[in-house]
Amino acid sequence: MKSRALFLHPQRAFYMIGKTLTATVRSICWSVVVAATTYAPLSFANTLQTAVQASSVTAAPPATQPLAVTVEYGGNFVGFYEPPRLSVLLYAFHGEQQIVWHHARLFQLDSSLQGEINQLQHQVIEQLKALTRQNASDKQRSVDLMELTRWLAAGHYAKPVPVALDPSGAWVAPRDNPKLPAGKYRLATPRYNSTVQLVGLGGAVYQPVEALKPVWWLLQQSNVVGADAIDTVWLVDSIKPTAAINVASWNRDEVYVLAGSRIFVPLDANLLGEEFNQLNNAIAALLSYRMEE
Amino acid sequence: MPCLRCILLVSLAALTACSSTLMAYKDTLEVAYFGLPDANFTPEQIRQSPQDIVYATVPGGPRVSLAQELATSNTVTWGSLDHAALVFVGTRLARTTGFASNLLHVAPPRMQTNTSIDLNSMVGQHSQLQVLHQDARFSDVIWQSEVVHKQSVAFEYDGFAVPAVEIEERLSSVQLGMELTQRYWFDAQSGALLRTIQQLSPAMTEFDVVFISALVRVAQPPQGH
Repeated sequence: MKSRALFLHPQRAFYMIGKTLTATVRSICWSVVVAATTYAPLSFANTLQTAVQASSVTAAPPATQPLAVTVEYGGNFVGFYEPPRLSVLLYAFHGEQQIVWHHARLFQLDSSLQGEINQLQHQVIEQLKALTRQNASDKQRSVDLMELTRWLAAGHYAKPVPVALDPSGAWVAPRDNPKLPAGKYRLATPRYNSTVQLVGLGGAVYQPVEALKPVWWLLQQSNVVGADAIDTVWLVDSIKPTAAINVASWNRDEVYVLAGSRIFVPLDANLLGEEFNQLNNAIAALLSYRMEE
Repeated sequence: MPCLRCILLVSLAALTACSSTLMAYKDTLEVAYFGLPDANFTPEQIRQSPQDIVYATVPGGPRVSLAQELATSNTVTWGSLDHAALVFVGTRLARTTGFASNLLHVAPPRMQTNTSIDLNSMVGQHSQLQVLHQDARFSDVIWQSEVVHKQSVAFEYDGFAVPAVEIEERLSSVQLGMELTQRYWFDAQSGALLRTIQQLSPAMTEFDVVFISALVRVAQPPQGH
């Protein structure tokens, strides 16, 4: 346990907390009021009510001022005239009990990287199509490759904001509370379903997790194409480096993953040959940009 | 010569005594040898606090205090100045942040809504909890919850006394072959949660949380105050 130093000196604690809260509540009020007057329908009525009740600051800037930050969530939008701190954005979701914050990610839709990401997706799709054509004689292999291609083509990809999301964490820890650069964002909060996502030949399959069961066991239980011939899989996360996990009987790691994790089962080197030997890396990179809804 | 030495020593001692660095050394040594002191507010300080306060203790640790940082619907975040937080949904500890290994999510599985424990909970009440912990070995554990004990007690803490109802909840997991006990004390009149001891995963420590602001509001002041 980290916090031996949770102790608060009473006077200092009250002063600091009071000061921080006053400033932040004002900021929230302002942003939420602005958002409410700009976008409709909004699902943040409670927040607005709370914020307005908590402070007398209700004046909104002129309607002509452009929004610095807009965030899309579940088809609704919230906007900010000034780039907000993450805690201000997430405040609206503090009471949401369906969101598993560990899996939630914020993606910037208009980052300077977006062109490269789109190009990466295009390149992966084209290479997979070419690989499918090469393997046209093997009907089942072709179908599996087409399924993977279709699944990758159907996804939406963007640059993730490299910080873990949690309304409470952002509020109490400055490290987890960066100021968002101006731009358009999407808050992706995949529904929790007690499974890990295994992506490989045949597209994506979802394998239920069990306590105390390592990755190699999950892979054995799954119906991922060619799972029995795989030595290593890759754990792909939008905000962490991709990690290799050995899963064959001769090299297996006793590694456990959380429900909601995404594992890429790389394509066999014999299938890829020289021509496509970078395809696995490209798919893994693309997966790290994928927005799960 | 002895006189000069004496003057030098006295000057040195005087200078060192005024040094803030010495105080830092002293504090460090105190923490190293005696640990941190328990957090302790007077009833007056608690009443005057702009935020509600809780005391939290983990086994072997000092009593620490956390202030209410966020409160929306029935979700409350209690935060510390060293950036740790406990998040309660109703009376249930649902998330922690800032620790080496955190409780990530507690929710009822689908098609089931009532898992909260409150003053009206009855012995034999059953529900299920789905718990996600950062320690991936316990990635997704389903606990069967059962209220196994309920009794009226005289709740006493820090000199405060109040009639209360103590409830004991047992969590059992077939997957893990394990049981955990959660305990709650509610004010018998208002139903306010006064204290709870919860551990929702074998990978997490047990948190003993006293809602001292709520206690001060409902209890008689301790003698001597």
